[in-house]
Amino acid sequence: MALDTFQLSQADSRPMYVQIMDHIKQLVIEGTWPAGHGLPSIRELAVSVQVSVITVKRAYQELEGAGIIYTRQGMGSFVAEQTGAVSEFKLRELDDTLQQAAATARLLKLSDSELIERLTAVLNNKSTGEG
Amino acid sequence: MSIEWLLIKRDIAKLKLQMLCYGGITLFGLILLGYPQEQIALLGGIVCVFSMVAFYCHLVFKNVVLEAKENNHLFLMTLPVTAAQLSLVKIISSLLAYLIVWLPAFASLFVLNVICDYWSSGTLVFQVQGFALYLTAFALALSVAIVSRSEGWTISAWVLSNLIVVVFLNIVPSSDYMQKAFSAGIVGEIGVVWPETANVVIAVELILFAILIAIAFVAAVRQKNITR
Amino acid sequence: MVADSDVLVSMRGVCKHYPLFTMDNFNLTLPRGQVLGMVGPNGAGKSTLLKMMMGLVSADAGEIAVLGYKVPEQEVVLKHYAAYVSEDMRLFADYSIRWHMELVAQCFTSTWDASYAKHILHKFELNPEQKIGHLSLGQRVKATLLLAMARRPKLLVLDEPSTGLDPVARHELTSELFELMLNEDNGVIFSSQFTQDVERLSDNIAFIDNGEMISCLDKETYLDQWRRIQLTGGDRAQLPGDLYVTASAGGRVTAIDHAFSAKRTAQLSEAGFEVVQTQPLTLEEIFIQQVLMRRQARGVQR
Repeated sequence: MALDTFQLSQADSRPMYVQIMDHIKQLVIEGTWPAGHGLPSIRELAVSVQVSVITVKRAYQELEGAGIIYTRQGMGSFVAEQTGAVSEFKLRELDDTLQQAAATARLLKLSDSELIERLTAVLNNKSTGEG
Repeated sequence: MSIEWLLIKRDIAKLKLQMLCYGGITLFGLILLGYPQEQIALLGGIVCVFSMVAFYCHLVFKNVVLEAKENNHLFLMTLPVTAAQLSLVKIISSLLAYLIVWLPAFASLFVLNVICDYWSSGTLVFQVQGFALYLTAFALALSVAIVSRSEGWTISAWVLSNLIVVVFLNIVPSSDYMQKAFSAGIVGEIGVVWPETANVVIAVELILFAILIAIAFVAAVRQKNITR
Repeated sequence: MVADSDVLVSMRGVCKHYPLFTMDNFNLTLPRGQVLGMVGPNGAGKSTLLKMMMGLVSADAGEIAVLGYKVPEQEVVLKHYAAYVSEDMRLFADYSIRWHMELVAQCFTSTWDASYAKHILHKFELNPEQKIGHLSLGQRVKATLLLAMARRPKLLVLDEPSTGLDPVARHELTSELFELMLNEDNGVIFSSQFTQDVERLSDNIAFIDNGEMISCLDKETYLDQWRRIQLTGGDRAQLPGDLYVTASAGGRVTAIDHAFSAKRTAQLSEAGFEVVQTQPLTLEEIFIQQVLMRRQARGVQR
């Protein structure tokens, strides 16, 4: 069961609900949970990953807000037809991260080109690391 | 079966060892009491007094005070009972446990009185007054324990109750009415002598017993908090 | 029969006085199917509150209803559906776990779940024949928990349940509590010093200090609203009044914000500050800040 693969960490700096959201997003992007797939009930998921009901509820609400899932009264939540919502969402997250990086660069008084240089270095490193 | 009755039975089962022990000692004392030699009979009397007094002290401490002190009450209070019911359970189980030893011992006195026709004619009436007094002393210790739930006050009530028993043993046998009864003769010849004054003494003892138990009951019913 | 009510616990205007403790006009409402964690320093009144809910201690004034039953009038019925475990509760030292299980089973014939009891015995690695007096502190706590949980209560009230438990046992306890919560009607109320337990389990958190409820909100709201903000530049006099400055060195100010939102950042930059960093706080930090801020406020009043 997909629930078993949920791994949440107290040591992770991301809030619990974000960890749950990321996990579900991952499952949706991978296609493990296709459109129309029924999500576990809030309570079921809370018990199986051992976080409080309110935390899972929060994650579901945010996912719904982002258009990744939809909820039918009394029937539960389902994965929405993906019109790029997930990737859009992920892109927005990437933008946020980059914005933070830019802010840090300003603090360190790095110039724009220096920042881009560093990003390129990271990209290269990663590809060599993987290759 | 109601929860109260269940708890009473549990309490009595918990006191089994004490009941057996003190019941046995009392029986031994009674046998000595029936021995046709004055010194040994006196020793038997002392053994009887000891076991009847020590038993209620032990009983009250184990059944009432210790449970309060060790916070067992908090656990008992999570069972479907109120504080008042739990206190009533404690009174009834203590009473039953004491009477289960007291009654057979008391009955044995009458049997002994028939068997031991060499007993003085005043012996039975003296013993009956004594046994009634144990009930009063027990009720004193029990009601103080129920009302206060404190070791200190209970110990102080024991001491007082023991003192009353000692005073009784000193005053009553040397009093006029008992002296007359003792010296009248032996059971085998003139039967039992039962002075009027003894009835008054017994009545006073039983009334005190009833009042003390009633106080315990009233305190129990009004009890709202058993736990701190 | 279970009384018909969507409210797990409601306390209205509850007062309780001890020689050195005062609780006045205490109010609390908790809907069904929720986990409430109570956090507060020693002597805050958590235990007293939990005992009053169960009818173990009577309130001086006020109305208490639990699972729809009035306390103390209907406490006996309530106790059939609500179980209570506290750190200072003692079982009978001279008797075995089995003896206690039999007693509880006889008192709760309709709700005692013998196979579940066996399951917990196994999970907690308890030997039912062992006398309570021979158990370690952790085992004793586990035994009391077993007696409460095997009754399958609709409401489980736990006063400092994790005291004396090692981390593994704590984990086992938590997972059993989660099992209990699978039934939507069930609720758990617990007090704990270990804010990590509270953080994981609770839907709602009540912070209690000095017999008063400082706040009672759902957990996510707490975590959302509280931030530690580091600022540079600007004039300290221009700082919004509801920020609580914890440190300032050089040109840098660290402040705690208890009403954080996106607006805050805008407000701060308008006032000429630059927000260097915002960090979420843990529940423990939130609690400590709340108590400190309140004590400071009281100090100012005097």
